Amino acid sequence: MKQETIITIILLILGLGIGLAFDAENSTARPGWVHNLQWPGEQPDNVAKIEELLFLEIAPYKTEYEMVNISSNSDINNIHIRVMATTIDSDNPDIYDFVYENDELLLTGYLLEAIPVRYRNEAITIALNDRDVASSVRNSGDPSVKRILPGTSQKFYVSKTLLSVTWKGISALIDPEEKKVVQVWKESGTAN
Amino acid sequence: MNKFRCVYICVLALAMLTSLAASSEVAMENPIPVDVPDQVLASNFTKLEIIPQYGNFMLQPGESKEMTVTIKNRENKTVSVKPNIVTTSYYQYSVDPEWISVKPGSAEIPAGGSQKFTVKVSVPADAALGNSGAQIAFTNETLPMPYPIPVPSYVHVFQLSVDVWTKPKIQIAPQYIYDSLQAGKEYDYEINLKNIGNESINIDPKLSNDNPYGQFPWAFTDDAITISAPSKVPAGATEIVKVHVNVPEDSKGSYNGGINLNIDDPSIREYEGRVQLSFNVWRQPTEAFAKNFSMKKAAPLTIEISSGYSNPYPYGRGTNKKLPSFETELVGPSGNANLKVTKTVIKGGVSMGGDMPPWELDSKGIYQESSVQFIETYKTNGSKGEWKLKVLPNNTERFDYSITIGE
Repeated sequence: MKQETIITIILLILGLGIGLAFDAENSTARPGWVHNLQWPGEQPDNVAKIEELLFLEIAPYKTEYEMVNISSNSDINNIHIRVMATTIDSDNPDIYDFVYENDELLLTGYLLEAIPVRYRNEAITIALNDRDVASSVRNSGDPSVKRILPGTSQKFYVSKTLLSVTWKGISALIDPEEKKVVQVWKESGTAN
Repeated sequence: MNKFRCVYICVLALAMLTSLAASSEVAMENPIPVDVPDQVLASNFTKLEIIPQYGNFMLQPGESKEMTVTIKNRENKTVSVKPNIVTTSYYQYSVDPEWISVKPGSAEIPAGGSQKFTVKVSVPADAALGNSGAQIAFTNETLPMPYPIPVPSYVHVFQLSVDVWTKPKIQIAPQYIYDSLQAGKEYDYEINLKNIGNESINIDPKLSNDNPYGQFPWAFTDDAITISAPSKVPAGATEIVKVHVNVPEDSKGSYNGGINLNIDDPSIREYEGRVQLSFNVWRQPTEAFAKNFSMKKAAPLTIEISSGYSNPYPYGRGTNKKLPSFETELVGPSGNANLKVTKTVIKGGVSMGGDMPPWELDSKGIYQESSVQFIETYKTNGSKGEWKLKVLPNNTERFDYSITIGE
């Protein structure tokens, strides 16, 4: 075999190796909007696969995650995973609960309050411009503002990210893009 | 040798690019969480899974962005898909279909296979600011409707919203002022306006209390609020809009309104140029609440005072918010008792569900602090005779008391 051919094959293998190394790193690497990742305690065997799936399911709201903390709890058939993600522009975290089973990740619950103050205040402003809400929340203090994911939103409006502004006994579902209240819920159970 | 160098450099580059291209499909920017689309896995529709189902493109005029959408074929046969851009009626403005491109233009997805499509949104440099949306229907299958609708309800769709924005040249903080005010007192608030642009920007802040809820009179009228501000914010400077509230002695209830800053900057949307005001007026009592009681014999006395529950969310408040406290006095047969706080309790309410909005049910089972209460306990030695407990509460609109005689 000619020397040039041998050099070419070696370099080709080297090139593929470098390329695959990049790929392997990226397939499990965190996205740019995750600055720090912690997985304290015992990690499951398929941690790389789980992380890859997790980063397709979670995302911050108009900000970036400063810290993503993943904890897991293995059952006989599945793994329960809790993700707690914090940002620098909100005091409250985003919390996601997942179950990992048969190589699939299922979102079983979430409480997403890591909303930058600007967007949080904007949502409250939109809610208070609703006649029903404004007249009902006197003396009620500050509300909670939670992000509602498209999968939930489609049951009440359309499949898009919405915000829920909730005082004790009353809640307004907000479309932050359209700047409008799309539904109001009261503790008695009435919604409109 | 030169020929070989060219060949192996090309092969090397190709190998690396191929690997990187594969990785770029995984590292999608800002992915949106998705649910498995129940409606397409059930019924008689072709079983296609679209991941993700929704994408948000926040773009400035002249920018473009790509997103990868994967279609998985859950059928046992090959399925043909052809993306079709459909404008929706959910938005005030319809996105121009020419802004959106989907590649490839069609595909045959084998049974159990999947196909990646690249959705690219390119916003022209002269595009108007605003939100718009569209759907990309991958098949022409539609949901049957009992009545005619302007846009067919496609089954296999990727929904996208396009938010055309520009970076505001002026920053506003805060955009929401919430506070509890005492009748008869005066309060000052500041709204900071920072001009990060290169030109001076005119402002003209005005109260814009449209009060569409005329049948609910506010605690006070607009003339209780005075706004003072410069007429412009020079480039690179920060100016302050001062808001002074003189709460009338006889006011009760709440006030909701807003300050329209009238910022002469088209990048500021109508809502963004407004600061919401939300005030709750209450009366700080000056006289203590008094409770008389008698003791038949000497015994230890325990007094417990607890505040009402307050909301734990610390956002958006003015600078006047303080924790509840009590000025407590106990007068017995021998005069003032030596009453000391022996215990302070901070009591919280944590919910894991209960009665909650149906759109928040996905948070059931996750701890949420819903209320905070402050409790103070005092102890002293009581003697036979008539006693009077006096409590002057501060920064709370209700309190509870208990008087325990004996151990």
